[in-house]
Amino acid sequence: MNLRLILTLIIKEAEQVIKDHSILLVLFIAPILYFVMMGSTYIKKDEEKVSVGVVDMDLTKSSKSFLNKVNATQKVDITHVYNSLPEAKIGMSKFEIQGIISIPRDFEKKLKKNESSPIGLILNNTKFLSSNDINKAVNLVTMDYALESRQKYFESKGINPTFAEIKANPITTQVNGVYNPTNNYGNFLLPALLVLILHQTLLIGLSESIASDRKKGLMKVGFETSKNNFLTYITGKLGFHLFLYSAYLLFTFLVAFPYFDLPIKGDFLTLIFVSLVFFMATLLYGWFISTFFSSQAVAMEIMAFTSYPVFLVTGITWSISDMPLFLQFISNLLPLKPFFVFIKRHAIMGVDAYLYSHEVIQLLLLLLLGYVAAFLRFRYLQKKSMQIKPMVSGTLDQNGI
Amino acid sequence: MLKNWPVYRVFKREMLRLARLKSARNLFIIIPLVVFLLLGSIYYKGALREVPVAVYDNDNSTLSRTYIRFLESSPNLKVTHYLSSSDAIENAFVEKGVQGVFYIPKDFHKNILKNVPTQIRIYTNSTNIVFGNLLYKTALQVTQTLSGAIVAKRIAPLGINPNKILGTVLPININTRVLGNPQYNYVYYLLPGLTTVLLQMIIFLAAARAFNLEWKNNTYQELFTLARGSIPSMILGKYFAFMVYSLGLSGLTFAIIFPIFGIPIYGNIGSLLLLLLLFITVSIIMGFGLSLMVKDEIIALDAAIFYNSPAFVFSGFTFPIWAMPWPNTVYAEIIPYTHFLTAFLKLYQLDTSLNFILPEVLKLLLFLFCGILMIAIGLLINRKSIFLSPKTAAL
Repeated sequence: MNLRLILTLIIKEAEQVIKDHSILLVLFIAPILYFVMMGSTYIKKDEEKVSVGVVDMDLTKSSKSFLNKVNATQKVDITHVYNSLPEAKIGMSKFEIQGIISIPRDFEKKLKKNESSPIGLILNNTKFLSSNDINKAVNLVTMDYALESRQKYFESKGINPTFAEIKANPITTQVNGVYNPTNNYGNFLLPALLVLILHQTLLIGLSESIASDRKKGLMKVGFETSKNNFLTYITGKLGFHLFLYSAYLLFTFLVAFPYFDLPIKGDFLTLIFVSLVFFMATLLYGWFISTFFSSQAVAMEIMAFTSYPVFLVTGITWSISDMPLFLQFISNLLPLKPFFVFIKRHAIMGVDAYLYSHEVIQLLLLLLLGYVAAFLRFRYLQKKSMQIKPMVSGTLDQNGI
Repeated sequence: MLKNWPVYRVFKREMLRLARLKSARNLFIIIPLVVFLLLGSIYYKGALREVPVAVYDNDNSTLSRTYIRFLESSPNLKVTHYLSSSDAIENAFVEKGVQGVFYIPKDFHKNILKNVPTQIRIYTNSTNIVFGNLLYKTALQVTQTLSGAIVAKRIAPLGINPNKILGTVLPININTRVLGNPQYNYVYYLLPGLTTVLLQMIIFLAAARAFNLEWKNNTYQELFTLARGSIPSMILGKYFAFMVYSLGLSGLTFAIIFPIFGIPIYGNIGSLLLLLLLFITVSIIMGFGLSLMVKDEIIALDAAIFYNSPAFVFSGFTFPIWAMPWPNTVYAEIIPYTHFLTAFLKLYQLDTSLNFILPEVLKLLLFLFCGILMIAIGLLINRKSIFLSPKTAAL
């Protein structure tokens, strides 16, 4: 490994990036813009005031009081009052509202008679988040009514109010959302989303650079500059990207995480070290895959479409054990998967090191795998470029004749 | 007759050009096949069932065991671990791989018999809110059922009319009706959204290279001559060819991918097709506009990727637009997919009639107008490369 040659290759790569507007955009503008755009989307972390319509056929004090209680919950906002169910359904079909609460006639009468009063709840389940929030809010309000009714009954039997309250609710529950106390969407998605933005822009930028090398025949020049030494070539070619993304890494953990109020509970140095291993593995994988592209456009097109599958196959939104075996296998081959688990356990949960050591080992193994794959590909391409050389000179000779 | 019609000649050429173009093959066949099948496979189980949870029963009484049986009988949960100390709770999520821990306190049964308030604590791993929400819902259901049963038992000996027990214990009974995706199935929920957003991206990206690639490959002259110098014929011919490819892609999505994963289509197919035709047209025309405006195909592609990539996040599908800050809501509004998705969900899942999607159709028509405007601007700024003089064309 020759440091001077590595520096030459790093400078060459930097010059190529600066000269190529597309790569420049992907590596320098896209990460910052996506951080701002995507990050700020979830800045409120959770939804509030989901629109709900009501059909109150009872129009009594009790029905109004029930609806007021629902409206007072944080996530529900009664925005529309309809005179009939068909009218409300039209409102739902227009997406004016996400749910309908319908209170039938005799609601109050039944309540007073201690008879079960049914109410209707129609949910627009085309979007899960809003539908779940409405369901939860209405259920919690009805539970309050249940406790009140039970308490009143016990009181009517001469039991004192404090004791009646206890008797009415023998078992209470306290649900603690560990590591995300408000169970909000932002804390769940943002850490992974920020990492994904870095991962994808890095891969797209790198693949463009390598495809451009291949098209312009610069790959061979790079090999020659490195004196056909794999380690020199790969360090020089990928060094620039590693430097750049190390800076982004610091920005992510020192600026973006605090800005979006995301915790870093674990040790910072460990976080940086493992993140660098992750980026090195990604770079080697990225280099290996990109050498199969000979067109910058094709490289961009294909890499752009990897975002959704790569993100979702890591199990960030769905249990990996519930995926088919072949997907579990693919998932385990991606550096992003153990890195997401590491970020979750180290930064968000702050658990002891032995509980994420498996992920660190997996990342190191993937780094090794990436290294071996890149090395074999390097040798293959090198051999191929050497085979082309005599053929080209042979062709020239023939033409010369 | 048809053979001499410039639009047809361009259409035929474009069909062949796209078939030969590696990029078009990737975009219209390989990427959707691989990505759509992969995305569907991730969620192939549809709903989360038997989420692993641990129980720390510090009471070990008849009632605590009844509570655990209630938990085990829920289809959403599977008790995989029994903890023996509270210290184990903290690391149970990682060490045991459980998503929740139910802690039953000491003297749980005794306290209930003595009318002393008692609390079951549930710890959920909310780093994933899908599990967090499911556990929250199930925990409340199970606890309230048991709590209700205990209250009913307490009330009965106090001389209550048996018909009034239910009304006293549970005075308001919710009859829930779920429209759209009553199965709460994740494939039905996510795959249509993901495939349609990728549909827009694929069509837009392909169309963004429709003209600038001709300049790059020096084939524009041939195209110009074939269209007999008629720019509208050139655009229309290309548009029809792209439409054929896009409809093929839609066919793959709705006639192959949806049935493979058993995704039901509740709405009217004819209405969906009309909406799809408008959406595809908007994507093609906007792509064409970009292609005519930006001569460098790579920069055009960059712009197309940058514009389309966040479409899913901004569409309001997984996180509502009204919960976003206002600049983000503005960006959401300027992506055609946001409006298509609303109309699509109305038609496809709520089975509404066409008149309910009129606002979205009008917005999509506005995008179409923007696309046409982009084409006009492209024609203006690159007129020297587009309107070739007869001499140059002959060359």
